[in-house]
Amino acid sequence: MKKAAKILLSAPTVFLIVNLIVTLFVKGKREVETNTVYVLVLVAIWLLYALGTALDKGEKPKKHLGDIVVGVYVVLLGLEYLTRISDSLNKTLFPCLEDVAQVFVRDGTFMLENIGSSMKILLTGYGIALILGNLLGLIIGYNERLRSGLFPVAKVISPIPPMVYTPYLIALLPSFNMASIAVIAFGLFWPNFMNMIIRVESMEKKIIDSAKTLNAGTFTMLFKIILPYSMPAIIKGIRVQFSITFMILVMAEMIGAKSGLGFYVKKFSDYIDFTRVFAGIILIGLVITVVNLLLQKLEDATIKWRPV
Amino acid sequence: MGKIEFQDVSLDYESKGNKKRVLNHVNLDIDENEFVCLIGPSGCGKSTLLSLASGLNKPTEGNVKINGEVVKGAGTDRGVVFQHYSLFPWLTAKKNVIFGVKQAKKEKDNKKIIEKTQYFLDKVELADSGDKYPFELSGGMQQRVALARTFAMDTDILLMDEPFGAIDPKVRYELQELTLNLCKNGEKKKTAIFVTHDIDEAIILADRIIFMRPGVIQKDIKVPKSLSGIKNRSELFLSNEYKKLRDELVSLFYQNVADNIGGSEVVL
Repeated sequence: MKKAAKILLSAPTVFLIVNLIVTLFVKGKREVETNTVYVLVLVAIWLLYALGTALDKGEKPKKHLGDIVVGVYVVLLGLEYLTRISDSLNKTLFPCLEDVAQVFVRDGTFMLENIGSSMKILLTGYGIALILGNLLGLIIGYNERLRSGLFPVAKVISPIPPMVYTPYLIALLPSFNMASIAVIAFGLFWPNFMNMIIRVESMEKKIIDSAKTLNAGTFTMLFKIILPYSMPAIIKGIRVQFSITFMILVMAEMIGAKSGLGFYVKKFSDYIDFTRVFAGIILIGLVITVVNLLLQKLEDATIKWRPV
Repeated sequence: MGKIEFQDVSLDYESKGNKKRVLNHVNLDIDENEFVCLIGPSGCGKSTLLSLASGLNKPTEGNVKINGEVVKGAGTDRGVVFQHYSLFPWLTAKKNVIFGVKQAKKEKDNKKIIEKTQYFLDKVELADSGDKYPFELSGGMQQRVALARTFAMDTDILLMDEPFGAIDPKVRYELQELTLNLCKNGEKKKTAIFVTHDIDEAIILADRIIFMRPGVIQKDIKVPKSLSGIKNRSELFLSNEYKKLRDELVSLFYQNVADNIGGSEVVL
């Protein structure tokens, strides 16, 4: 009960009410079609905050959640004032938030299709890089002869930006999607590969010794000792690499794709439909946030141990 | 023929072109069921000697034999406990023991492996902590799990490299008792090499103490049988035989320090 009262009397609640009053009752210089979706979004943000706070079982209350929500409300309120109410920003470049929110309903399926298209390329390309890079890094890192021979070669090839292979890939591969997958897989193979080699090389020698005294063969050593020991670092790496990959992909899609999130933004900016561009930018942010949350959950679920 | 034999063993470490002789023509025979403590100042090569027996290191000259056969590498006929990192931090206590039992390949049936694991976790009084990860266990508890794993692997040779060096005195006593119990009162007696720099620990555990000074064995001391009969520690510490042995080892340590500084009139 105390918690419920705390949530109802908190700053985010106050800001929600202020936002709602301004949106619903303050007449502005610009006219909007409907504000239903935007109101729902405002309430949804508050619900997320309320749920997050109510479900938080930690000893220390997470104050930052409330701070973030207040921040979002303040920004929305400011934009609301600058666009709809006072009309002091350029109409074409800065659409009303009500209209932007409406796009998510009108374009919902189309947006989902584009998310799917981006994710398919991303997951395939990155998946190949992740598995192949770590697997080969593991094997080559463990074999001293292979490592000494291949590591210097990898050092030369890996810093070449994968984009420079694009002409070859586009010429050789049948579609833009395949070329994108290949660029991502090729580009992200190297950091995964090199990092894994370094991890194997710098692994705690005493653990290797301990495994040796337990008569661990090469297979056991690679897949039951070194790989599980490296797992936390690999999964942490995924989060960083995924964001970078996503960024590169969206940029690539803005150049030549016929689907995807980058394509969505580029297409409507060509039509000077900045309401949709705005929505597209928000969508990209949302997708990254959700993916990062999922990866965090994956990390928490898979890594339960800590080094001693 | 001894259970473990070091025959004229020498070992050189090479770093940046500099050769350093760590062991110089060491000869040592260890009998079956004997508990031997290697003791000596840091850098005297006691841990290196142990690593030769475990197969993690190879001698530059000479042979290390176990049951009459030259040691070619690590093997599950020898159980090894280190000071740190004996356990795998990503496995729970129970899974660490299971891993060892499976590697030993003496037990094939899964149910029996789990039974055996539980039996030895019971023995080291950690029956309830089987599902904890090493980072959730204290240093003493971690070493208990390491002991449980080694004993569950049913090896007849036990090699321990300062296993209780980083553990506080009270827990160390408990662990020493546990080691003695498992080694001498178990179904099968073990042959053990135990590296330590703690004189009391050596006297309490060992049948025989090997005192080393850099590269060579300086003295081979039999611990009187009468001492191992005394269970109570304070009684043990008061006995004259214990004091005599302790004095001898302490003077060996000091003599070594004096030799190293090069003077004979060292006041310590």
